[in-house]
Parts: sequence; structure tokens; C-alpha cells
Amino acid sequence: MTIPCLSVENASFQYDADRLLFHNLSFQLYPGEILTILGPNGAGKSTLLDCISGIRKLLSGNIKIDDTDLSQYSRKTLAKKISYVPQNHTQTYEFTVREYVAMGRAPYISVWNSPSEKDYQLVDNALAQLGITRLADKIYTQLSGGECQQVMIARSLVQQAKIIIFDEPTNHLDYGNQLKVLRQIKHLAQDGYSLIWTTHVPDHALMLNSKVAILERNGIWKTGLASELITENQISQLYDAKICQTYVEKAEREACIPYRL
Amino acid sequence: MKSSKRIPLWLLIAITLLVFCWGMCWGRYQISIHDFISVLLSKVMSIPETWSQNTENAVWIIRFPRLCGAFLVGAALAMSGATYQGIFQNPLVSPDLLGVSAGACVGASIAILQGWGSAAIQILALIGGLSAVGITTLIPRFFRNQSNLMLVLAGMIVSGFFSSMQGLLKYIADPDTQLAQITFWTMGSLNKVGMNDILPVLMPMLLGMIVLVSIRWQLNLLSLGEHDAKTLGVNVAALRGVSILTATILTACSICLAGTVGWVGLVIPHLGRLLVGTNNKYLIPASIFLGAAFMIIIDNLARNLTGNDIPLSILTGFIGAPAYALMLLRQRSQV
Repeated sequence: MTIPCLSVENASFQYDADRLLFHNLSFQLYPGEILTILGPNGAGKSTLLDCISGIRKLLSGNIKIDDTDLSQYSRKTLAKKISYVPQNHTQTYEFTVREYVAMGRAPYISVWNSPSEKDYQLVDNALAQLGITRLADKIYTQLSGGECQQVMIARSLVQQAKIIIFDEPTNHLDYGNQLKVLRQIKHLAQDGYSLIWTTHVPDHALMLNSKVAILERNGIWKTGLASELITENQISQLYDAKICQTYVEKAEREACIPYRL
Repeated sequence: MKSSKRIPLWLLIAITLLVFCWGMCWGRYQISIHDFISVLLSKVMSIPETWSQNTENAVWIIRFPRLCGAFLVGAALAMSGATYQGIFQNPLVSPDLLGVSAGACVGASIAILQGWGSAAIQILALIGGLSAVGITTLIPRFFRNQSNLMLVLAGMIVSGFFSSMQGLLKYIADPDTQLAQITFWTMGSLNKVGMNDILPVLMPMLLGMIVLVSIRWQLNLLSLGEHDAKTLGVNVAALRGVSILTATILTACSICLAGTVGWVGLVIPHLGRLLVGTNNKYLIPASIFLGAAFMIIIDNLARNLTGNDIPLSILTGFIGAPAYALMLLRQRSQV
């Protein structure tokens, strides 16, 4: 019986006393698994991700990584276990892509040092792995949205953490780049990483055929396989819209799309 | 910035040494380079004395301390500016952000009103500056909001309050003597700096510079924002605390030596970014020598342009503001 790399038990959290964001939230994640979290705006998905990565503390419940409670890890060690790819946001300063990605090595660099040749070698490897070596000397703030996303993923890779969290990675991307990110998530899972990510598009979960979790506005949490949890009823009720789910022969997969407007 | 486009550090050090020598030689009392080097060397080896006692005095008692003061003040302000700009992710902030200048001015003004000597003025300025920043850092704790924004707002509150206090002190000051003294102090000057002014602040300033140089790469992480920095394993509160404390000590010590000098902390880091890029690994060391060289040039001009000593802030503003405009012009495509 393998130990899950991430285990969340009976987690609950609230910002203010009158509204519990989520409660009795539990799930496990094993190496090579993808967890897609769906849920309406404001349900608390980002907060949950913050709790898992140790940025916020749960009200109650516990989170274990490799069977050790989160609180037992130092900040740096935790950063070697979990990495976080943030939503696309503007950076103030004009670092080059290489310098920016090198910051992912922070958990391995003591406070008196800066990245070594070996660290930069890992940076170059990550850029090559994602096919963005041509961006290495470009200024980060001058990249397009899709390129920024790739660079942030590269930063996560050099952190060498086995669990990667993506906070709504497809939000600011064009359609092609969205699919590119999905493909990358799939490949990373095949390479043994465990991934948690949030999306507003239920069809994405079906494309990845991953574990799915739904966090509803009232704090209800459901988990299951994509095939079980993503049903017409569930999605229609979740987003208050008429959703159709069917097998599309030409695309060779189950798809979840809205009915005619 | 690509390493090929970066201005090398040795060049900045060389420029700083050059303007230092220029400062030693230039003045109402001209000293030739030969004499200046001889006087310096005479401290470490015996050389036949070919210079006058006046020259020796001018070098050791007047110019050397003053130039050392300029070096320290320029370097400290530039480093603090670069550090604050990194911490607060905002290239528009200067070391005055958390109230150190406003507090120091109040401290100095109180000493001047009491008729105390320059040592007391320096000590009270130091206490005033550090107290102001201390209050600024306590306010977020009181409001239970430790974000950067809260800290900046607290700085505004404290600066505003101390500025008004300063206004009150100027109002009750004797316009014939004290008011002039307060005004000149707040405009900054190195004209009375001697070795006995420099030595007390030398250790804290050198220590502060060593600390900031050591942790300079970590400042890059802070400039990513608190959330990102935490996910990268950074102890944001501790790093920010140490950086702010060090930068504040550097700024407060500079104010002790030279009074409040504006523009250096804001403009020099920008110039540094243009020359060596944003990476603090190169920017912080570059800021030291760019700030030092700039301050030495300003002080050389301050003491030689006219018969009297021109206050430093006048020159830093006259030169700094147009220089800043030129820098923005060059970067306008990116703004």
C-alpha cells in the first residue's frame, strides 16, 4: 500500500466567523496523479491551494506530505516538496527569463549565496524541457501571456518539487496555449509529478481524465474520477447552466459542452 | 541583463577612486596629485617631506574625512534605496518611505532649539530617525495587518506626523539663528565632518553594507511579492525585517553625518538598473560605488562652486531631477 504523497484530512477554513469556506474536506494524491478542482468563483479554491502549500493555516484538520504533517516541515523543506505556479501576474522588475527561473532554486540556496553554475544548468535544462530556450535572455516583463506561463512552469520545475500546484493556469491564455498547458500537465504526471490545478472549464477535466474535486459555494466538497463526477446533472447544477455531456466520436473522447444558447 | 551588456564593477570602483582623488586635489587650497599621494604614503612608509604642514592638514583633517563621509553617505543611501525598491516592489520608493528622514529632522531640530552642539544634534537625529521607523513598524502589528501596503501606509502616517512636528519646531525657532541652522541641516552638508564624526558611525555602516551585500540575491525573491516568495521557501517576515532594519540603520547613520540628502536613494538605483540590470546580485554592489561616486562629485561641487558651501540637497536635486528625466527619456519605450 503506497503512501499518498499528499493527504488532506477533515480540513476546514474560514476567513470570518459567519462563513465557513470549506469543512470536512479530505482527499489523497499519489505520485503521477492529477487532481482537477472545479468550482464557482469565490468558492475557496485558491484558499485551499494556499492551505495545501503552507501559506495559510487551516482552522482544523491536517495536511500531510509524505506522511509527515505540514507543520513539521521548515519553510525551505516544504518548498522542496511543493511548488506553486501562480496565476499570471505582472512583475515589477525586468529580470531576464534565466534570472527569473533561477529564483526557483531558492529552497536550495543559503541566505548568503546566489545561484551557482549548477543551478543555472538546471535552469537551462528546464527551459529546454519546455522548449523555451529561445526565451532565456529575454526580459520577463516583455513576454506574452503564454510565454510567461511557460516560464513560471520552468521555475516550478527547477524547484524539483514532486507536487506542483497550479492556480487557474488557463485563465489568461488563448485557446491554443490553454491546450498546451493541459498537455504539459499530462506529461508532467507521466513523469511522476503529482499535480493539483483549478479550472473553470469542466471539459478540461474530461480531457485529462484525472481525479476531480468539486468545491461548491456552500463549502461542499466532492471527489471522484472524472468519469464519475462530471455528469450533466452535477455540472449543470454547479454552474447553473444547461450542460450536455456526450461521447464525441470525431474527437474520440467524452466532452462536456453547453447547449445551444 | 546579458552579462555582455553589463557595466563591470571594476569600472565603477575605478571611477569612484578617480573622483575621490579629484576631490582630494581640487579646492580653494590646491593640492597636486604628487603631494596628495605622498601624504597618503607617508602614513605607511617614511618619505622625505616635500609638502607643507598646510597640505598635510588639508588632506587629513579636512578633505579625507569629508570624502570618506561622502563615500559612506552616497553608498548607504543608494543601497537603502535599492533595498527598499526591491522589498516594496516599487521603483518609486526612497529610503524616506518609513519615516526615517522626518524623524531625524525632528530630532535634530530639537537639539538645535536647545542650543546643543553638533554631537548632540547627530545623536538626537539618529534617535529621531530610528524611533520614527520603529513606530512605523509597530503600526501594522497593532492593526494586525502585516502586509507591505500596511507598512507603506504606516510610513506615510508617521512621516506626515513628524513633518508637522518639524513645522511646529521651525515655527517656534528663532528666525535669526536657529531657523537658519535647522534649514541648513535639513538640506544636508558635509562641511564640518571630521574623523571623530565618521568613526562612531563607521562600524554600523560597514556592518550594514556587509549584511545587505550578503543577502542581496534574496532581495530578488522579495521583489516577486510575498505570496511567490513564501512558496519558494523564503521567510518573508524575517528577511523583510532584517533588510528594513539594515537599510534604516544605513540611512539613519548617513543622516547623522550629512543631514537629510534627497534624490540619491531614489535615482541612483535606477541608474544602476540601466547599467547593470535588475538583478540585485549586481545592482547592490553597483549602487555602492555609483552612490559613492555621485555623492563625492556632489560634495566636490558643493564646496568649490561658490565661496560658501552649497547644501547637498540643492545640488542633488538640480542634478538628480534632470538626470532622472533623461533616464526616463531613454527608457520611455518601456514605461
